[in-house]
Amino acid sequence: MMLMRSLSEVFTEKRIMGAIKVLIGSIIILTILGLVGCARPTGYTKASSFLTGTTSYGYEDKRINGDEFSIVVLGNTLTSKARAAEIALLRAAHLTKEQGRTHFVIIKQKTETTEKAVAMSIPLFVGGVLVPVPVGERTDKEPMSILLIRPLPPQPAYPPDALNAAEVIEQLAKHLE
Amino acid sequence: MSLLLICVRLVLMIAMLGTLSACWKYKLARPEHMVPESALFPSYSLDSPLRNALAISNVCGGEKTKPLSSLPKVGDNELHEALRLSLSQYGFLSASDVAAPFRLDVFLIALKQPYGGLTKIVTSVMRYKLTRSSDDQVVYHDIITASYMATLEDAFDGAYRLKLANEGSIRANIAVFLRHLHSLNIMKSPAQ
Repeated sequence: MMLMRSLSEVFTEKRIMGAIKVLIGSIIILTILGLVGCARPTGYTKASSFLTGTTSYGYEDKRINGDEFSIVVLGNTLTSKARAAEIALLRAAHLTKEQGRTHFVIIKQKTETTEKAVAMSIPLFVGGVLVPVPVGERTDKEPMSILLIRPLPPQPAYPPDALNAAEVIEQLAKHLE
Repeated sequence: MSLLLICVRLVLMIAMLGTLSACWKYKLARPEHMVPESALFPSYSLDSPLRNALAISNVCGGEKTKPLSSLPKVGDNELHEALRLSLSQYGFLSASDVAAPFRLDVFLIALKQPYGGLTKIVTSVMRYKLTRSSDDQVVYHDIITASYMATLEDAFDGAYRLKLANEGSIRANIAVFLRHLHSLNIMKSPAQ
């Protein structure tokens, strides 16, 4: 009777361990598939820092003073500098509309390449479970576009360097949003 | 018995608050560590119009380091102090804020920090605007980006490593601005 019970316990433990291994394996596979699925250029999206406190890909903006705003776009490695600059411009147009304005001027713009250290790992079976083991780091280059803008108050004639927010949105939104 | 329990709880609470406070101070950016090293610069011309002529008008855009957050940031006060020390060290800071021929506005547009990882590369994006007081003309306006990499060799603790990267990035940013000031060809007043 005792032998039967202990065999049953071992069998149950083995089943639980098996289920845990399958679950971990599935999570790793899903993560890898998710990462592969995300392998595309950065789109028109707000850089979220909700969970980590650090910045992710996309745009972020700040009000500098009364009527000036800064927009910073960080793109992933698949994003070109031109695309990062376009995302910044599209955000500038949306921001102008959010301020109840129709036109804006670009005060300053800059597009650069930044570096990011990425941990490299290889999957190894440790105790029957596939575990990513860190083997080193590589440095990725990512585009960063910075824009300073001033939405203009309504006026009869806008300066020649002013951009129409609606036109910018119409031109860029199709392939960025 | 209950008094003893209250005392123990009180001591524990004070110890916990002390630990939190120490951790928070440990993560705060240090202004003196954000001042560029003197070896980076050529000797400064004594007859430059910018010599002892700058007053810091406004510094903003920074973010305070939260006591319970693991992420060190750079606040406005720390940035202001770092700029004041840098300008003073290199002979640009005016003795009087009111009578200074030039006003400097600095805005920390972004401090890009990495997710986890061993090597921390932080990029700071700062807007510098220099205005001539006599005619309110903007004589210099630029966005400067600068990065700094902190590795495991610099610090084992990740939060501290990130703080070093923050400080290094701001230091590098101010260094670029000071280099620009060195090469700037402007006059104290439009009449000169």
